[in-house]
Amino acid sequence: MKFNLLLFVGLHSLACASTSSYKIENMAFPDDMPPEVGGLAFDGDGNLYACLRRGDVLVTKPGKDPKSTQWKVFATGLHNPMGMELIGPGHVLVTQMAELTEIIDTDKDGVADRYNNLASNFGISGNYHETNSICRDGEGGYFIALGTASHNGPTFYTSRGKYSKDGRRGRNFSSNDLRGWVVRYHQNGKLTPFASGFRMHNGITRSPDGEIWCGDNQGDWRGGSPIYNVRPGSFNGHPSSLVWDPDLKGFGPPIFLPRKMLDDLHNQPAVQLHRTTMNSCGEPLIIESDQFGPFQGQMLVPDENARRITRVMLEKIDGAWQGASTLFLNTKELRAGGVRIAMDSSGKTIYYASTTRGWQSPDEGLQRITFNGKMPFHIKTFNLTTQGFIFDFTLPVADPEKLEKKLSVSSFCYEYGYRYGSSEKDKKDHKIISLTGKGPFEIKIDQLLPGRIYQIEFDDQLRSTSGASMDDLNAPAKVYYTLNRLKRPNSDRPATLTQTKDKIEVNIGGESFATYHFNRLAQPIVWPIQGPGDIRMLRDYPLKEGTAGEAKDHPHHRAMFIGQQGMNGANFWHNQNKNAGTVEHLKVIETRSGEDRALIQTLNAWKDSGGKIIGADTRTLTFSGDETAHVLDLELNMHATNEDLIFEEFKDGFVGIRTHPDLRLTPSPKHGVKKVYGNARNSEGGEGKGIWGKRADWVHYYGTIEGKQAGIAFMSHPSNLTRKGEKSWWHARDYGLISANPFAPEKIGGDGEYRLPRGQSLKLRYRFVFHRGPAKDAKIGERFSVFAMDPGHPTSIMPGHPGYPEDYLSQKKK
Amino acid sequence: MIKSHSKKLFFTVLALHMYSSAFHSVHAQEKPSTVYAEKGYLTFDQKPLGSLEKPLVLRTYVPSGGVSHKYVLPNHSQGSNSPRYSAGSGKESTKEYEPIDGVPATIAVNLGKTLSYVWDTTECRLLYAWTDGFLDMQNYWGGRASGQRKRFGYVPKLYGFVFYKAQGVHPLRINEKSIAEIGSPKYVGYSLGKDRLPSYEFKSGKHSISVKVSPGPSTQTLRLDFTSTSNENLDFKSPNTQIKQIQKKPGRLSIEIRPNAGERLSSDEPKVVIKKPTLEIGKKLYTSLGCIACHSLDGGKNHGPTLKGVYGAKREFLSAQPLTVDEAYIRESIQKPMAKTVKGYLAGMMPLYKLQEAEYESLILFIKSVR
Repeated sequence: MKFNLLLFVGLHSLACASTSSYKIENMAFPDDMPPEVGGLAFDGDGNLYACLRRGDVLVTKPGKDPKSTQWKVFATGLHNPMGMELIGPGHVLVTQMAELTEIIDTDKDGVADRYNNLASNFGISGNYHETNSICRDGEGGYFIALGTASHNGPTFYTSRGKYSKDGRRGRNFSSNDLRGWVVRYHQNGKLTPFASGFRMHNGITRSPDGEIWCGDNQGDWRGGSPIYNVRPGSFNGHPSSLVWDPDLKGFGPPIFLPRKMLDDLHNQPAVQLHRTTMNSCGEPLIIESDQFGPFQGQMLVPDENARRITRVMLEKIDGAWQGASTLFLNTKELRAGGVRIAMDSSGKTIYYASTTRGWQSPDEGLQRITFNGKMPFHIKTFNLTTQGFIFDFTLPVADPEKLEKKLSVSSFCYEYGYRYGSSEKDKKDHKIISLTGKGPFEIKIDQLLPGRIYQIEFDDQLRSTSGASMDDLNAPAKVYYTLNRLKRPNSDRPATLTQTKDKIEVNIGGESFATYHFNRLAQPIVWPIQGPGDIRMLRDYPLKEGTAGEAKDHPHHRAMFIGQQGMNGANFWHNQNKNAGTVEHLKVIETRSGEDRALIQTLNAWKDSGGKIIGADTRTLTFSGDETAHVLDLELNMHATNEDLIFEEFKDGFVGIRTHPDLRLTPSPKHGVKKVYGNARNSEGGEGKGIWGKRADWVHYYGTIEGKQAGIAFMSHPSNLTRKGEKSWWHARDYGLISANPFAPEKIGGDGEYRLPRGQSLKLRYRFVFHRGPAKDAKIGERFSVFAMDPGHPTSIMPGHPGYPEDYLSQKKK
Repeated sequence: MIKSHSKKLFFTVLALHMYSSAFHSVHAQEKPSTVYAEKGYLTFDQKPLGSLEKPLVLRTYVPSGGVSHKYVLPNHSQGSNSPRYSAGSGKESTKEYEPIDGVPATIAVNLGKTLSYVWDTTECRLLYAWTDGFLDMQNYWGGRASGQRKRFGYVPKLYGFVFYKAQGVHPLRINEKSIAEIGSPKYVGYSLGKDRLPSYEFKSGKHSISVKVSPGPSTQTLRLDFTSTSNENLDFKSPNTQIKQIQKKPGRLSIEIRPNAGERLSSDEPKVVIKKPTLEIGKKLYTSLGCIACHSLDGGKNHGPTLKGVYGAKREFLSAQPLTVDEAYIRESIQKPMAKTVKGYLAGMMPLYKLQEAEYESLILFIKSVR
């Protein structure tokens, strides 16, 4: 088929502007053509393909003079194409509204004649907002980012793919199958879900090291403009898409789930871009070339709503990516609405595509930005240390010894919730402890806390030794570092995790510590637990029968377990009872291992005896230790997902362990326990059997286990709820049951029934210390003080701040 | 709920703009641009048009055209009302969003004024076809200066004369079994032929089918050429639809589809009401509605009887009492063409025309004048 049309360009003004390091030029288009560029890609022959949102795919070979750019139409008639990958000359993949389409010029005349539907098994509601973008998966397939719908537009009576009423709720929503997900189109043609939780990931990128990156637009459930490292199975914060997650079936509309539950599920963004540097993220580009200035390996992100490009410096800390951001270019010479960037084969030039149709006045087109070899002056690297940051500039700084006076450090948090964006919460100014070096510079500050964003601002007067200022890029010398995780100290005791289909084994320093079982019983439990020196700490029965010296009493005391005799009418303590509920493991949210600790985070559904969901928990188990003690931290967040969660007053609850029989205080000959070696005490000076039914910060069972001195301390964090505002009430028995119970009956000195309103969460934190050696060497009192100061797992839920859905649900009830 | 709503939407755009005082033709009045056909790319023009030589194939949302959701769109999911949401407070109100009419994953094709049609990739079938126009993209693409789509009513508007609407379940039968029974069709893709017309490929069960849609031998007709890869026996059966088989052999079926609808739609609102019927308007309608395709003015025989001297002539029918043609009969033939079929002609060939009262009267004036 012969139809080669060269498009000559109209009389647009084609001003060319520049900084002293980067030249900005406008690529010409015919005057009557709307240059709303949705996708951009080079083929191996240096041809640049651009897909326009009205439906044309154009191709050009960029020449020296951008004014004489000649476009040829390669394909036509696509529906709002926002993603493109080149397979080769005349062979393109495009994501348009309805599908992933392969477009081929089979007869090699320069114009496409074959359009294959590679994937359309995802939903479309008819809402204008549901655009799609694409990147390679590195294995011959592709990742597709499926955008959500917006409440600023309608849906159709007749939509495609499954429709969900629950997904239709809220501001940006996922009424149809897999909207708000990243899906994977495999080389074999199968489409599988990959990651959920996106609001509007307008663009997706694979970096050379195989990591997948999406930006997202500012808005509901987005405090800043986030950049996500998209991990398989991850939930990336925007709840609507969870209606398509089979693990979350039965929880009702996801936007009404307790925020803390969503926050725990949330794969925190690697970087949160501040509103002064980004409104809405376009597609990230990793600079692979060393010819585009001094920023090789860094990420550029165009702003869909402004004339600027942000630069991101990433690093992997404690197993996850996080990092710093600053402006790269901020100039009126850029067109507004940058969505895509592609780099040409020279590595010196990027092509910057913009479109604004639908959200602001049209100012669209294609520009190219070329590095002219002159080193710009800006921040070149920015990394976390254990006490601050280490950073460097692209050029030597004038008066490095005065740098400390030219910078300030502050930090803030973003709140997570339904609101559109977040202001800076809990702002703090930080003291600089020291600033050393002549480049790189190392700064130590008074406090580093995960879950915060650190802002480092340099004085306007900062100059390089050559007199260069950062004004040239009009990019203020300001850096934002998103601190999700601290740099962990080096240790010679690596923690490792081994996960199989129903359990995770934890080793620390080469020694076995514990096994988390999640699919074997009516509820997940931890068993066995070993102290240092391989000392068995808990009773084996009923998980393993026949261990010498064990009594077969209380078969519901299963090693380390969680439950309450009465919750909304179901019994989660006595698992053999008729009305016994079950705690069903839904998913492992995350595991971490590393130098000195391992972490397991899971989501669980609490179901009554009929299988009806009454609530959920997210729990984080952190395992650490040294030669004297193994330490397990449990952070348990109980969520009232479907109804008010009522913790009825019973003595049997809530977090319990059953010790090794040797730690019993009293023998039980009729059960076959003839001799015992245990003692008990609590933080208040109580001892022996007398600690039962008392309040204390901790209880400590100690003595001799299988001939070795050892003990278990069980601590309740001071922040834990007790309705009476006192210390934890302990159900600590002489036969080796120890449980912390915030809901014990008032008549035996407990706190009584507690009602957790729907939409809210209850956090409970406990620490278990499994030590060897004599009790006095275990320093339980000191260890408790350390635990009391520990901030725990970071959260983006601000306490005392009215928020959705808690308010809304309680108001609705009235 | 669904039917009445979509129909209302579809018919509210029924407008008759052409009879304003200057009496322009439809084409002049609609000011269609042939820019796409000339330039080969989509421009700021909101009413792009292709041509026979350069068809415009456009993936887009379209109105459902009032086709039956139950029979024609069974592979679509059904939207629902949803509580209105306040982005400011994060709260829902008792008011609700209502879905709007639209089909989300279609291919709309335009060959200039000769033919437009919509082929749906979810149902893998034609939804409707029309002449004298295409789609007005204004509400979706937005203006050149503002860039704003219409917030809630952005489905492109169909303008022109709709002469075919899909009826009943999927009309293709493979070895005597309807696609509706065999299983949900899966759209595979399309190829552009040497004539630049698309041939659509889809699968149903283990069958692979391709269908090419092209203009029929006369105006307001369509030609469909089906091919299957395993020499299956292909048939086309659709209620209230007249077809003519052109060719049939194992693995092949070519048919002509006759008009089964008659509805003029305009993207321009509000509609212009004609108050006074005139013979001139009737004459214009004779051409623009496509009467000319089947009814000659010179006595020549075609799909329908000639109009020459029809008024006052004796008529005999297939299954009705003979009569002398009067105004009432002419009106009935336009409004309810199935009521009586003239002897010697095929029943059900003529579609039903929904016009304004003054338009019926104008047509009658014109037909009476053909001597």
